[in-house]
Amino acid sequence: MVIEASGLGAWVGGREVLRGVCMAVREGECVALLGANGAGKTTLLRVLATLLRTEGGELRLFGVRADRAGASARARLGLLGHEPMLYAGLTVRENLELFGRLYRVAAPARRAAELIDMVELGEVADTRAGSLSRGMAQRAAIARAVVHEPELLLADEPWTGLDGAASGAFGAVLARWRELGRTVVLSTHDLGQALGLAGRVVGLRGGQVVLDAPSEGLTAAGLAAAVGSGSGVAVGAAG
Amino acid sequence: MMRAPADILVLAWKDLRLEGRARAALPTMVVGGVLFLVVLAMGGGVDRSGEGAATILWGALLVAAVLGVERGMAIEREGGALAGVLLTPVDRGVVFLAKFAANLTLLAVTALAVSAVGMVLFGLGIGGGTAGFAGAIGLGLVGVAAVGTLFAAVLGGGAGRRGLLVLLVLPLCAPVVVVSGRAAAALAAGGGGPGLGVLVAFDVVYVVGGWLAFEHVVDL
Repeated sequence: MVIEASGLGAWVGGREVLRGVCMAVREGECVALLGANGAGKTTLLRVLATLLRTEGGELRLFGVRADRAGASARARLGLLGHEPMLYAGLTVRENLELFGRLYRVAAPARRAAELIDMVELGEVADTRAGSLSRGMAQRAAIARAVVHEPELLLADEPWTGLDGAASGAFGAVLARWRELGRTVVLSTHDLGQALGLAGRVVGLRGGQVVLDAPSEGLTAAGLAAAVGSGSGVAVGAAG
Repeated sequence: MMRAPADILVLAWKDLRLEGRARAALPTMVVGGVLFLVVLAMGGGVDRSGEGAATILWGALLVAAVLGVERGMAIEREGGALAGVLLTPVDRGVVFLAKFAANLTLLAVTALAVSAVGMVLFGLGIGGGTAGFAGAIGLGLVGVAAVGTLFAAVLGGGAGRRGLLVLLVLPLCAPVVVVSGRAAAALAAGGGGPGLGVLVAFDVVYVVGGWLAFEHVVDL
C-alpha cells in the first residue's frame, strides 16, 4: 500500500477539519478526493504530504508510519497545492535547480532544463517566479512537484485557475504518471472530471469519509447526493 | 544527516542570494539600528566607556535582529515556498540551521555597520581589546539569531506578528545580551572575559533547541 490511513484527525485554526478518516491507496491507483468547500480535502492532502500533523489515528506511507518515515517518505511524494511553493525572487530555472538539489536529483541543472521544456516555460525560464502570470506560475509549480519523479503525486484542485497551457501541462503529467503505473491522489469538486480520470473516488463531508468506491458505475448525480450538494460541488459533463 | 552541511549551504546561499537581489532585510536592519543610535545621540549623556559601547550596540542590534528575522521568514512564506522546502527530504532541523546561518550573517554585517556609525556618532572607545569585544558581541549574536529565527517561524504570517515577535524574542535574548555586554566591556578594557563560558552554553542551548523544536513549531 502507498497510503494507509486509519482514524486520522486534524485541527486547523482551532477547528476540527478531519475526523476519523480511513482510506487506503494501492500502488498505481488514481484516486479522486471529492467534497464541497470546507469538506477537508486540502487538509487531508497536507496530512498525506506530511505538512500537517494528525491528531490521533495512524498514517502509513509506503508501508512505514509517516511520523517515523520522515525524509524517506517525503523523497517519494510530490504535492501540487494551491500556492506554487516557489521562491518569488528566484527565476523559474533557479527554483527548479534548488528543489532538484534538495531532492538529491543527480543533475539538477539538466533536470530543470527538461522540466522547463515539458511545461513549455522556455521563454520565461530566467524570469523571477514572482513575476509570472497565474497560469505560468502553476506550470512552474507542476514542474517543481515532479522534479524528483515522485512515486506518489498529490494534487489539490490542480485545474483551478489554470489557463489552457497549464491545464495541458498537468494533463500530460497525469497521463505519464498513469502510464508509468505511479500513484495519484487529487482533489476536485468537479464530479464529472473525477469520474473521467480516477479509478476510485473518496468523498468527504464535514471532515469524514462518506464514500469510498470505484468510479465505474457511479454517476455525477449519485456522487453529488453522496458527498453533499453544498457550495463548490460541480456536476461536470463526464458523469 | 550526511547531507546536512551541503543542504545548509544550499539553503543559506539561497537566502543570501535573495537578499542580494531584493535588498529587503539588510537595509532595514542597518537603518533600524542606526536610527536607534541617532535617537540616543540626540538624547545626549551617553556613557562612552566599553560597557556603554556594548549596551548601545546591543540596543541597536536587537532592533535590527527583530526587523531582519521577521523579513527573512516573510520571504519563506511568500507563495508557500517554505512548504515546498519542508516537502523535500531535507531534515527540517537543517532548514532551521540554514535560516539561522543566513540571519546570523546579516546580523554580523549589520553589527559592523552599526558599530562604525556608533564610533562616529559617539566616539565610542573600546580600547585595545577590539577582537575580544567583537568576539563577545559575536557570541551574543549567535544566541539572538537562533531565538529570533525560531520565533519568526513559530509566529506564522498573521497580522501583528512583529509586535509578538518583540515580546517573545527580547525576554529570551536578555540573558545572552547581558552576559555578552558585560564580557565585551571587560575584554575591551583588557581584562578577562567573565561569563564567556555561560554565553557559549546559552548559544548551544538556543541553537540546539531551535534545531530540535523547529519541525514541531513551524507555522505554515
